[in-house]
Amino acid sequence: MHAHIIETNKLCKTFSSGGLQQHVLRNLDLEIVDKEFTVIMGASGAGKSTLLYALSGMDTPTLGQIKFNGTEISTKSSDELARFRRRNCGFVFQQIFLCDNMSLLDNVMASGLLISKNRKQLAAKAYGLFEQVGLSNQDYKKFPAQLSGGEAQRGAVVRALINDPAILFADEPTGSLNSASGKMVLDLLTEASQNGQTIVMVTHDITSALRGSRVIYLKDGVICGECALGTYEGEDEGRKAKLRSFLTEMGW
Amino acid sequence: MKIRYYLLALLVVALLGIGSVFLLPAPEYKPNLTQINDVAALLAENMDQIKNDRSLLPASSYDYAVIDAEGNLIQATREGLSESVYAALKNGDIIVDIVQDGQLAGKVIFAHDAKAQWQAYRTKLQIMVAVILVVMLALVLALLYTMHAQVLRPFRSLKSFAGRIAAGELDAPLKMEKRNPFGAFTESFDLMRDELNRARANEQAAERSKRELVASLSHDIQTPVSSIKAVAEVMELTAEPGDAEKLKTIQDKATQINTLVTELFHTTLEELNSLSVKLTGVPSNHIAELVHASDYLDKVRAEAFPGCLVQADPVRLSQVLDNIIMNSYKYADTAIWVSAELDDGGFTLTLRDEGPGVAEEELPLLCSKYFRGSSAEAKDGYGLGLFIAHHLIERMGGRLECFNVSSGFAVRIWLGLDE
Repeated sequence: MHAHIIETNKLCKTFSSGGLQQHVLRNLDLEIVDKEFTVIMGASGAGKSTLLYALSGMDTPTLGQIKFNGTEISTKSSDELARFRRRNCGFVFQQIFLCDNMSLLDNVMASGLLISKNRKQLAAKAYGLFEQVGLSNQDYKKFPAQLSGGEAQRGAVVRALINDPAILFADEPTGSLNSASGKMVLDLLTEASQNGQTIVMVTHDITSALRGSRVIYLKDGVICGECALGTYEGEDEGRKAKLRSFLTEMGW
Repeated sequence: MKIRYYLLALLVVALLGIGSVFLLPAPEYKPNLTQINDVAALLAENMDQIKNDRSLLPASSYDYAVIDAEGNLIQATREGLSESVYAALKNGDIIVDIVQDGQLAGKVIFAHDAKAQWQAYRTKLQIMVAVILVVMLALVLALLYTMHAQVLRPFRSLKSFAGRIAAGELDAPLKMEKRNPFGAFTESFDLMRDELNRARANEQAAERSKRELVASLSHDIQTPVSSIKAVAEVMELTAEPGDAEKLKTIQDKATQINTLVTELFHTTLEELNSLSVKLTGVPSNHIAELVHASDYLDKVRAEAFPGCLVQADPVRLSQVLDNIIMNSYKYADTAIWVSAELDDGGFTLTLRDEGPGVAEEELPLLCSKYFRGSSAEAKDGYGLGLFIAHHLIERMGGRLECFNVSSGFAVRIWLGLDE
């Protein structure tokens, strides 16, 4: 196992429209350390989500390289990338993106069956995860429309974790939730991280960012600085102050 | 409101004013003769008793005083009336004789309030004139304000606009106000600015091409003049003493011409610094495209460039690549190997040919102005290509180095990454 699960080399992403070029990511060199909870912060338009999509193979970079466990993924075809994502990545988004016409359990199973054919084993794993995230067997038989935002997002976390992804990508996972539900989802991610799950999360919320062990600040598509916070072990004023002063220094 | 409405209103008010002053009725004096005669007749009947009995005075709408034939006051309807004929005449009162049996028994003086009437008339007239003047004044002020806003103010902005034009600021357009009666007028001013701007740009372009022409001509002049000088030197060796002196003059003059031409050349190159360099993030694959665009003889063999964003001015960079590739065509005429790599925070582009290279002692001078290496003698050129390339790359914050490699000559360009 590599110490760096992802490595980028001069990663660039340029969006062009009508002859105008917008360099969203510029010569970005970044390593994502295995089993670490990495948080990407930055102002709106700094390229946070673009970076997340490039790292996770949902989007291809314009220039530069991305190596996942030493394998170049920036040159893969879109089919290859889809297979890569299916095997290696879990995703949690701000919008929950569950299939409305399937129960929560079916949503999770559908995701799991892409990889495993052992329905029984998969179901057992799903039940375990549902229990872990605090969803009862009444809850996961419901359809997404019958769930609260927080419940649905916890369901989405289960779906992201069902295939034991090598890395979990979260794009503003608490963005659409109230603070109580948000905290539950954050607790879940923290717990997963403590169990050795590698996580990359994009957020512009300080409370969410506090859960990370390493905070990277993006500005105009360039890494402006990073702050090592260490493993999260509950609310800690010192940790908060450290993050705050880092963000102030970065011009947050 | 438009000015003509104000003028119309002013005219209407003036006419109304003049008309009403003329039409105002003057106070008229029309005594009620019947009543006066009745009073006089009644007084005549009771003349004797009236003196003692005031209540016998006949009622009348007039105030009046009765005097006897001797002119003494007998009775009056109130105090303060004219009490003698003289006073009555002075006041403009009506005096009627009281006749008893054909004999003058006295006079009755009817008071006339002409003064009060005239006073009232005057007050009315004053008010009317004052009102008319106030209205006209208000209209005139409004008219002046409108004229100021619609005429003077635009003129003032036009004045400052003309000032800016005169100062050479041709880029700021003239702000035109809506509903301005001079809209079309000011618009033509703005068109004039546009035209001036265009004319100036043309002039600058012409000036630039003229300078380029001068630069190339002055170089072209230097070559034949050098030949003349060389021939004169050779002839001087075998010439008669008289001719030798003339040949010496020819050499001196040729040297002088060369100096003058060099000076001319220098002044046209002073402008190199004013070339604009705009740095942006240039994708490395775009640089590869620029290399190929400069390579019109298709001699470049390029490796794949590492992907990154380089800080450069694409227009100037293509000028630099043009110069380097042109040089290679001219002096080596072989394949040009182009490679790029990333190192210490920068992007290095190396262009290498398989030509004879440059004498080792000439390498440090390659990038100086007008330097032409020993291999350049048979080729045309000004010795400016690498000088300009070096200058532009430095302006982009990069470095340009020339060196010999085992197989030929190489130019290495280092540019910073866009961060």
